[in-house]
Amino acid sequence: MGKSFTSQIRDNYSLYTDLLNNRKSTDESNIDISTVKSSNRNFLINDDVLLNHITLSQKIIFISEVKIRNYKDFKFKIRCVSLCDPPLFRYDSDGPAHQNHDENIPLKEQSITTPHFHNFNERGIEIAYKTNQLLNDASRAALEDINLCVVHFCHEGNIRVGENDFPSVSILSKTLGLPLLENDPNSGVNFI
Amino acid sequence: MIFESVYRDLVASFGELWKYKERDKSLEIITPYATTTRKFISVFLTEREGLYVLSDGGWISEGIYDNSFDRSISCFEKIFLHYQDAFSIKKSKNLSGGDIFYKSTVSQIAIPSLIFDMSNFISTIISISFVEFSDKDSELELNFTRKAKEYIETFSPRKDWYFNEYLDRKRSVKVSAILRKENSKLVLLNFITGSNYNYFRSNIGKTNMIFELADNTSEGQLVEQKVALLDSNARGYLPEHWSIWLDHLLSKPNSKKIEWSQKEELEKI
Repeated sequence: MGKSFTSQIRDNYSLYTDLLNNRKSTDESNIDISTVKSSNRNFLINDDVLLNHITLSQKIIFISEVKIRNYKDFKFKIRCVSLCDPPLFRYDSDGPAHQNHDENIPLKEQSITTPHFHNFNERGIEIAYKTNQLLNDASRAALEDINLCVVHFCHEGNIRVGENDFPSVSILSKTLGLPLLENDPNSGVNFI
Repeated sequence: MIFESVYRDLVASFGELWKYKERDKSLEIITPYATTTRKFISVFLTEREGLYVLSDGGWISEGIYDNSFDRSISCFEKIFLHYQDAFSIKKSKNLSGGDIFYKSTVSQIAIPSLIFDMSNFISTIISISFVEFSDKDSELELNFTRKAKEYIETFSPRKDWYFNEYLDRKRSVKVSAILRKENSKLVLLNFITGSNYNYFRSNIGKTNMIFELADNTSEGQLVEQKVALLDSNARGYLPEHWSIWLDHLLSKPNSKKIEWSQKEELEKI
């Protein structure tokens, strides 16, 4: 949890790149996020979606999470526990900026705000980055929609449903609750 | 001035780390302060009838920095209280009922000073939340052992149970509990808990080692079954992080698991 260096990825970097870059597919056309996350009850999670890698047999899981009180705060992750605990690849729509801690990068360029993706470099260091779509104001605003964003994530992580489709995402589909969009964390707080 | 260009680059570099996001009636200020896990600290500025408020946005208690926030760990709590007191940090509740930490002022000129304090406070609290304090797990293991023992004694007062006892005459292999059955066969139980998945996994590893050593003792031939009792209520009960370790343990002959949520199964061994 939270560590920015993973030795298993450094030591097995060709396996890591193979897992990440080559095609992974699933049969799940809809991902319903509806289970309260056991390690952080502020989030709902779906960690039941299995991905089949085109050549490798490792168990790979596609994880989707959304903040209960702000549906625009969501994460997608790909995890392969036989390689390492941290997700191999993730997308954070919101949350803190990440520091790409590298003395070869000027300090002022080390801060990568959300939304951003995370992967790992050959030294096992977690690196955050923005795609061209995330750098463009209009497409970044469009990607606040979780259903558009899951397609972007699947493109970036080379994931498909079946041959060439993308999953859709629903949140608490079996309830009638309205989506919560509490973007201001100070909202409703009694300060003295 | 010597190193003038270096100095100017330094000041400009730090300055360019300040960023912001607009969030309805609050401004998220992304600061140059970072955690040991390489996350930049955000503070959230809002104004209520002339009172300026700088809060953590509830991100500490909500684990938004991928952090834990467990104030029952006594070492963590001491450091937390020291920093809260040193920076005069106040506390309220947010809409989800979580703790939100803040400072406030009516003076606009004081805002940078408050951001300085809040950023230092948040950065330290998040960073120390990643320190593994062992005292928590000693207490946890003691409590789970006590709970398991009390439960076993409710249904099996007459059976021959030995708790925290050596299996062998050489007194080298100690298990959480041994059941001596009427046919003189033995059942070994080891209790597994942990405040995070690292500790939980480590205790699975220890149990595996104990069970393997038990097989090698001369008393090992009397062992009918080896049971890992898993504390399914523990915070470290996150099977996705240690299932391959547990599968390895259970792949050994006569090994099984019982989860605390199905503790009635203990009555059948």
